[in-house]
Amino acid sequence: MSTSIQARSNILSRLRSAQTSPLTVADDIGSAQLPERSRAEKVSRLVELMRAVKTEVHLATDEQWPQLLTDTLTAKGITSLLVSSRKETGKRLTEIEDELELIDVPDNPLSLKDDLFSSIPASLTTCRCGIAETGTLVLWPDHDEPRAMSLVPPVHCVLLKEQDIANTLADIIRVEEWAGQMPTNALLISGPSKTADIARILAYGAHGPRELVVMLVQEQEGQ
Amino acid sequence: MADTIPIKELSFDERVERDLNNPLLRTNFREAMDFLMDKRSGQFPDYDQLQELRDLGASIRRRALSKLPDLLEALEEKLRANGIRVHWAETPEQANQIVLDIARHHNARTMIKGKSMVSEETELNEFLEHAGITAVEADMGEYILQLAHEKPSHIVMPAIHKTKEDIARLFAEEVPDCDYTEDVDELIQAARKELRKRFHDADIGLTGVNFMVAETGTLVLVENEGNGRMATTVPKVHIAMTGIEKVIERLDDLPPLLTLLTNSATGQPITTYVNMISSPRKEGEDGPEEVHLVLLDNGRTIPYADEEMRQTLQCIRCAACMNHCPVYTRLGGHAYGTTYPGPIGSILSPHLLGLEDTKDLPSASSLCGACGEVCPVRIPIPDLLRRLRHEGVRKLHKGEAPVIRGHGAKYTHTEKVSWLSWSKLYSSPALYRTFALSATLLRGLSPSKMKGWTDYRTAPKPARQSLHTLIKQHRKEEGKV
Repeated sequence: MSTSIQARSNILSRLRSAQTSPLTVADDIGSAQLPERSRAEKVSRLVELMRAVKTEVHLATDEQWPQLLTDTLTAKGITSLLVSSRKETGKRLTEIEDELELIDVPDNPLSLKDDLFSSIPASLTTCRCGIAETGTLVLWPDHDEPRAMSLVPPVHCVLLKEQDIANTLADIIRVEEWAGQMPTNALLISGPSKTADIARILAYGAHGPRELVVMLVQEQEGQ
Repeated sequence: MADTIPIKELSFDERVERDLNNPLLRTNFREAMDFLMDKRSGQFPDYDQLQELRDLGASIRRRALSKLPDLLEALEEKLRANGIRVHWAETPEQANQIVLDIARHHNARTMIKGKSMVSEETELNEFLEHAGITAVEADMGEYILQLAHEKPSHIVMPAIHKTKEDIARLFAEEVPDCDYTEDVDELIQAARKELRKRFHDADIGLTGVNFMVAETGTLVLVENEGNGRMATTVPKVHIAMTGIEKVIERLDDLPPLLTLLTNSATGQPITTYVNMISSPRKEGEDGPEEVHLVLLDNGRTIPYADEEMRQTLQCIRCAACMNHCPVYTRLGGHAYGTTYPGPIGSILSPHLLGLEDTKDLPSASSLCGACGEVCPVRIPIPDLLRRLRHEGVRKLHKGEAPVIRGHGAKYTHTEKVSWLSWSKLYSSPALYRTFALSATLLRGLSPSKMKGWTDYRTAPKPARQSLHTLIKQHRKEEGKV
């Protein structure tokens, strides 16, 4: 490790010997101005961009989504779903007839590894919010919804509320004051895993989920 | 195991000759670059908006570089506080040794890799192989190249020089249980299946980094496939490896750079995954229990010392410059013989490797200016190419501090004397008149073979009469009328 310490001091001293005049944010020019959007515009842009990269988006009311999701997965031949019983997603799904076998996230998420790689066909997670500008879901994985849950199963489903769609990533970082509270892992997900590394031909399901299913819950009058 | 393409094996001219005479390669690159250029321009329909965004991107990168040592220290402090271990390396050898020490500490036998151009720069795979550790590339492009024992020819799409048929044959031979198929979905699924086993079993995940945020101590990885997420989520140790210049000051600086990067690189408004890592797993979470960051200099502090050359370090590795370069499009990436090809490679590699080994690169450009026009962070690549050409033929004055390794690597006495004579001739009217007169009178004696020039062109021959004489005659005739 002493080499690293020596390297550190050599690198920093070489950098410090350069003539620089430190710039501040006030010196920045240019802008990344983007249009403001109404709630309806945000929803329609998000849905359009998500569908453009093969994300399956289902619009539903808060009442409808558990059954709609169950039907969607059943139609795909999926009979079990990884979902946390401690989140709204798991609680709501247990209320309806158990057509799907619900697999709960164990207290030690690491113990899920082998099942995730061998047998779990699908997962359902919540998300923190959506981003209209880029058609993106924002996830902050935690103890109840670990990182691998949105990555390893071939089908990843996400519950997104219409009122949680922000306009841009810049807005979210600023409004939610991310800089003061970054989690272990913050994720932006904008579609199923994909690659164009073979002859520029787009193929889905590279290393992550082959399918991304979004249950977009619309806000109802009077709520 | 992977055969490298050592820079000295063939000369630059020989590599150029080889690749220009490969029609399949030229078609591949032409089509691929046209495709990428179209994708990018489709994402930036509003010219003024793009210029504003490029101004901001350039400002953010310049601001970060203007206080690079401070930001690196702030970043290190934040990362340490978050539980991420930081290592510094001046050379590729040191960086590789750091990775090996971490691997040995964990008795690691296997490593799964996300895409990392810096690990290409340090030739980490070969180094680990000698130490008995298998490093498997998981980015689909890099995986293909590892199987084929080849090097990337493009920094964003590493296997872009290979056809579907090449890959079909390769997979049939090298990938377990994969029959010959030209169906790209089937090929990808075969690789997915094989690599999932590797992700599951690997002791260590190693990746590059796109941005490091000093304010929060966050490593940002941008990708479409999910290999980066796998490598940073599944193995119990994650090692990130990157150059010291990748740091940005604030989290607020990230969104505009992300927009510029993904749109410029592949014409996507955003990639499938943006993965922001700020610590190892905390109690009750999943993810790696140890996260390491290896910061590599490898010559980056050299251009940093010079205000003009420093702009080279603004690069966010989007590859737009190579996608738009008429020379790169015709040659492909391998002819350059360096980890980073194309215009950015031609201004970066001389610093990483010294001008002795890269003296031809700054001249591998027509100076058409396309690279400078598309660069999302406004690196004046053509100016830097000309600067490097100048440094390549310039001997240092006594006591002058070098701004690059290998000053004057392209210096020849003949060239120097030729230019000196030219300058004498053109600044003295008497000498010039004598020269013009003798050149026109003795035009029959001008050489028919001129090294370099007449290989591809006919030899120039002085005119019967000089322009001066012609103008004089013309004026005389006009006066008569």
